[in-house]
Amino acid sequence: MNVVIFGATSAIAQAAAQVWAKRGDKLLLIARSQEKLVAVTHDLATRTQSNVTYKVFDLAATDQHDQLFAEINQHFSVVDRALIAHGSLPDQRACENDINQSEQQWTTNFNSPALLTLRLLKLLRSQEKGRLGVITSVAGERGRQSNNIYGSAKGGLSILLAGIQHQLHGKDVSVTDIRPGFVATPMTAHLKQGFLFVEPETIAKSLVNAIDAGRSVVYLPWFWRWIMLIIRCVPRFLFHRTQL
Amino acid sequence: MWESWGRYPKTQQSLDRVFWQHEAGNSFKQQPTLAVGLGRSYGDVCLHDQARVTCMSSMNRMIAFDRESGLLRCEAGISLYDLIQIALPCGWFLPVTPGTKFVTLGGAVANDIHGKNHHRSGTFAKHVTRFALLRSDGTVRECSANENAEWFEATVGGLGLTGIILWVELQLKSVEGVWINLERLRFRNLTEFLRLTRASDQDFEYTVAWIDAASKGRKLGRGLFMRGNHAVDKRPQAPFLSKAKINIPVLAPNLLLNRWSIKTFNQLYYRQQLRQSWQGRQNFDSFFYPLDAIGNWNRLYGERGFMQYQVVLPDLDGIAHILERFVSDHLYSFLSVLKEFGPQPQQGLLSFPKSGFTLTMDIPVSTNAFKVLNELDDYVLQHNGRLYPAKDARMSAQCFQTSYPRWTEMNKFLDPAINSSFWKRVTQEESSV
Repeated sequence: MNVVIFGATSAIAQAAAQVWAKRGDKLLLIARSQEKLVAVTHDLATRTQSNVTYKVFDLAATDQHDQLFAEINQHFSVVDRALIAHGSLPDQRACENDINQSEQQWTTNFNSPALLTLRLLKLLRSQEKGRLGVITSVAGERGRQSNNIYGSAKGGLSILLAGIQHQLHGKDVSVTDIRPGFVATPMTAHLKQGFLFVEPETIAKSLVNAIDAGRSVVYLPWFWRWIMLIIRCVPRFLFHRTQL
Repeated sequence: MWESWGRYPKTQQSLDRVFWQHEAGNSFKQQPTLAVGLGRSYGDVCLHDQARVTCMSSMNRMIAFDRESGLLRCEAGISLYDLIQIALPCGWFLPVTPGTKFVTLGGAVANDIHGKNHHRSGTFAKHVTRFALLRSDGTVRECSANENAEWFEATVGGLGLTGIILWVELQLKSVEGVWINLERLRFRNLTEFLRLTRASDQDFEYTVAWIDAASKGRKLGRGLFMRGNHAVDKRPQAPFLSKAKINIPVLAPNLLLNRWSIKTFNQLYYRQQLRQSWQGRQNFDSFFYPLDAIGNWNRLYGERGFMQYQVVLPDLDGIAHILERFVSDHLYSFLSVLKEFGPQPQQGLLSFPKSGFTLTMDIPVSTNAFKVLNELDDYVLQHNGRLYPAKDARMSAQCFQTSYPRWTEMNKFLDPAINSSFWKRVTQEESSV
């Protein structure tokens, strides 16, 4: 199978790529940093001897996505699996003080993945098959004082995906909304690592399985489904008294 | 929270992580620091009280692997577990392996670890063909036995003090499968042990003995001798353990491992085999890494933590003295291991193994333990022995400096932005020599 991974040097994407590469899939990795892409490509190729190539591209440059997709089409005649994994966890207070920073964050966490999703959707529909996974976040499920710039981008993305899933009903094309909880990655390295943190390798297999199965929403690990259910149910007058 | 495997001493340090080689230099921005791996050293070589540690275990990618020649290059944070998983299906295995697969490659180099095949294969560093060392001034040195050889000698067994190891190239060993032909023989005392180990060195790649450290008098030094070779047996085994079969979820009460429970365990362990000898085939995972089956087994010692006393002495009289001293002072070791080292030359300035016998004992932290071990240190020094830094949490500066006379040669190679609790303890205290 042919797999394209956007934001391929993110820790979760790397772990997922290992699962795909191990089963012999062909990978095209896309990310901004050449140094990181080289390290990840060597790693995958060394471990699995599978066919891995990379393309350096800044996914925030949404005006150049056209070009990127032309190159993807050249590389793979068919795209069987795609994963959109890039994102950044901003400093909420800094974003509130500097509106430009908020805009950048929304570009990275919403505009860029949302536009890629639309393009991929077009591609998969023209193939009449294919599966797409988009990494959103449990942070997108309820607006919170501590993390709403990031949360709103991820939540918006989830709503877009839900709408697309509605459109795709009954087709052999699927889009999976992947909602990780706390994963120990460079993005969360500055946070205090509590007991809810898991390693990317722990969730990679379920992530790949969920995309394969064309599931609509998957929480990683599974228990976040129930944590978020509770968080969504807390009445506002109580919720607003918390520090969440 | 960062702690060492023995959970003693208790220290406070902040921790940052390195994910990419080209970003490893960032960890020097806040000085001083210490590169650490999976925290499997027992004492304080992986601790840095009131300062920082930089965890390397997320920088764990493979760089190159020649499946024909067995030459492997990986980032330093990769675990041996990860490495075996890739190499073994291709017919390659670690040339030297410690008793747990949950250590990093960089940690294996920095502690110049040894294994059950020391008498044949020497220490880990002997099989390291090359590595890259990042210094806080931003320079990267590639080191091998020929190139930057003095940096190589200072860094293998150098306890992470010479810089951050970025990647390591290692020559793996060819094996014919995942199985070990194992023989287990009972011995009643150290004389019998000596006879067995000398008779086995020629024909067996792996030799090690478990000692019943709770017995005294006539039974002193009795135990089980294990010797094995890689079997020529292509039968595969189920994917080996990534996680432990059972996990110790919380700290046990301090009293769980007391003198009676430890004595009983040792009795039972010795009696597991009533016959004089047992032969069979074991997969490599349970042969090399039996304790990996119990996750977080260090928690069995409870809040107080435990220490491992690993010593090398030139002869068995010294070993007998230590065993006697332990029993007479009511220090009971849960697991005790005895192995004869080979005559291989020392690889690093601070490498531990040298010709003689090495005894390893696990003991809960107690005031009595400190008193006895301090006295035993004097004995060890007088008898030309030494302790293993990777296991140590308490030897005096004098003890270290006397038994590792080349420690002053390290000065030239120490990175000014790196330090550790261990190094401060054994160098900054006034030496009374």
